[in-house]
Amino acid sequence: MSPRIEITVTPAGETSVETKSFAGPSCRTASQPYEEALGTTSSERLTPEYHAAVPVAQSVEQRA
Amino acid sequence: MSHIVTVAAKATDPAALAAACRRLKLPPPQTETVTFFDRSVRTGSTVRPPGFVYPIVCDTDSGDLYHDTYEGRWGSEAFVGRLLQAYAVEKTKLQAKARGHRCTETALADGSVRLTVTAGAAGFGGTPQYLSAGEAA
Repeated sequence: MSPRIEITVTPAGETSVETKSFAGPSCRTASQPYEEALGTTSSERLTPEYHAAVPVAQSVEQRA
Repeated sequence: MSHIVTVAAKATDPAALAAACRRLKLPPPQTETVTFFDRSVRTGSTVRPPGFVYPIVCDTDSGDLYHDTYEGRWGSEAFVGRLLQAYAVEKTKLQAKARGHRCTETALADGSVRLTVTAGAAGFGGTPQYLSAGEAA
């Protein structure tokens, strides 16, 4: 699945920004402009995918 | 997923605020100085939802909203949240358009709105964010 940013806004105006299908810290670069445009970041949680290596290594394994 | 960030929305963009008013079928915001019941004075972009005694004042410098609904007697507290929701949705759409990204909107059962942003031709941030196996080969 292609990388995407999902932004959910509740009826009370509470907003969460979630990145999906990014590998490594590139998700931060992608979502930062949206986070800054929307307001002030109040919390952040890293997921296991954040710590994953970029999938280049995987492709090398596949070719070997 | 990679990371999840919670953002306290700040209404700093007059264009997004105007779009939020259109979305909620409200008159466009006006620049006014308002004296609330407690004699506090606020200047900013005012939004006048139906049934509100005092308008909602948006200070687009700080992004803060000011209102006096007298615990719901002078206006719906929930509507203040809906204005902030509409602002965040429209601000996201404007941001996506400016960056050449695609943005689709989905209404959720609980009244929330989900916006899904995908990259345009230039990718996210103008640099590749993800390498598929084919691209890396």
